[in-house]
Amino acid sequence: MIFFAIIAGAGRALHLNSKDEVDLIKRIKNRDEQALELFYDKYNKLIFSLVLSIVKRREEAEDVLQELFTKIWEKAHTYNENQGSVYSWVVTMSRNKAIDRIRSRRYKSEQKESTNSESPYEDFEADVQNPLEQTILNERAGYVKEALNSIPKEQRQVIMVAYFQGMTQSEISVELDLPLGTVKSRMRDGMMKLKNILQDSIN
Amino acid sequence: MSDQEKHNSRFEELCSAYVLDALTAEEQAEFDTLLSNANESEQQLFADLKATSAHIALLAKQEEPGASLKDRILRYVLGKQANILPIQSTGWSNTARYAVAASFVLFAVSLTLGIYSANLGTEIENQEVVIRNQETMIIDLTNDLDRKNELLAILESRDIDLVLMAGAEVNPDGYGKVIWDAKNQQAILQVANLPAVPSDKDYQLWLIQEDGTPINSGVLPISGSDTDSFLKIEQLAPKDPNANTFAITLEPKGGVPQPTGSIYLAGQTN
Repeated sequence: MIFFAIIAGAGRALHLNSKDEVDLIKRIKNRDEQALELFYDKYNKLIFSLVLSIVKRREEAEDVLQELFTKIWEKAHTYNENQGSVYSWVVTMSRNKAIDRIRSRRYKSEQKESTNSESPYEDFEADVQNPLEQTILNERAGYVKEALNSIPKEQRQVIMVAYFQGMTQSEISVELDLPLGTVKSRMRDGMMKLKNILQDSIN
Repeated sequence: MSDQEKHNSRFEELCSAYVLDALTAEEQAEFDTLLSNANESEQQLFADLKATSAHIALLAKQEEPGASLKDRILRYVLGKQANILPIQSTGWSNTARYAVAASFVLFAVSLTLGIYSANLGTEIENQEVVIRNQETMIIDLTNDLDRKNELLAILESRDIDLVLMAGAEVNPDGYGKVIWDAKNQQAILQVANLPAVPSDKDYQLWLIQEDGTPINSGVLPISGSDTDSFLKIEQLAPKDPNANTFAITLEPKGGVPQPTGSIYLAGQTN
């Protein structure tokens, strides 16, 4: 319980939809070039890291980043403050673009052998003891790591494979040699628990 | 499990996978239908799971993009929009706009100068043609003046003979005049009403002695004309009291030592 209290408290710090970010999107919508530059400065590392963890290649990740910022510039008006945070909007858009890449037939055939290569995400079981030594971003990541670390490993595994390798439940079933029903139930249970742990930060 | 519980369980299962983009196309369609009919708590669950999924992005290994990527992306993104920019200004965009404006001004100035230069070039070419024509005219006038001075020099001679030539049988309308400066062995020849010269023929001038011996006095550079032509004849034979007749015959091209053709003009000193 003490752990969950800490996470819940930290969750408030994870509340990412600040007024500044919403204003930034509004300025971008109004064709403010400086706002786009500020947005890049704020998000480039996070987005690049996410995209690279999925597509694996730096040049591919940079291409995705270019497409993404083009889309942000052209589609900023589609952002709806009532449907979620700016962070959630841009991360979802980034991940979708990266997954589109790896799901293309060409890219999929090229990357097939690298599925089991080096883990694309941080070893969330490491460094958990010392999150305060990290930067603010890494500190936030530390909270998420702790939340993930608090759910069963089997559930965590299917979530991470889906998230960073862009696999569907059917593909995960084959990849991990698990019944499809098991993959589905582990994914649902894991996500529901994770949501509950991070509830404060989300709201 | 009640129907509502089954529905809730199904919604949670599909929603959890949906936010991870892990559904098949059929399952996605099924969830889209569920979401379009979702109640408030289901919509909230969808928003929460979507945000939960987004948080996992923080676990990606931290990597820095290339240092030049920012400039590349901003140039690409903003460059594509250059023609519809912008409502608010920045230092960078002002610079860009000033550069664009300056480039248009420079382009307009260059275009104007180019047109002016092209017009000027055409005007210069026209003036050069005029100058060349005038130079040609000056040369012609100078030559004409020189020729007339030469003719005048002959006329100014105190010892000249005038020989009038008339058309012969083959050229009854012909007319000719020789102003003969025997001392200086030169003369002025005026001819008119000579037939056109065939391409293989030339008119040739002869000085004929009393005994009928012809002295070649040169091929005439005329092609025949109704109008008067004036020629200066040089290097005539020395004055000979026995030579007092001039005649013009039509001969083979380049002339011949002895006349072979018909006489077109002939005249005798008084």
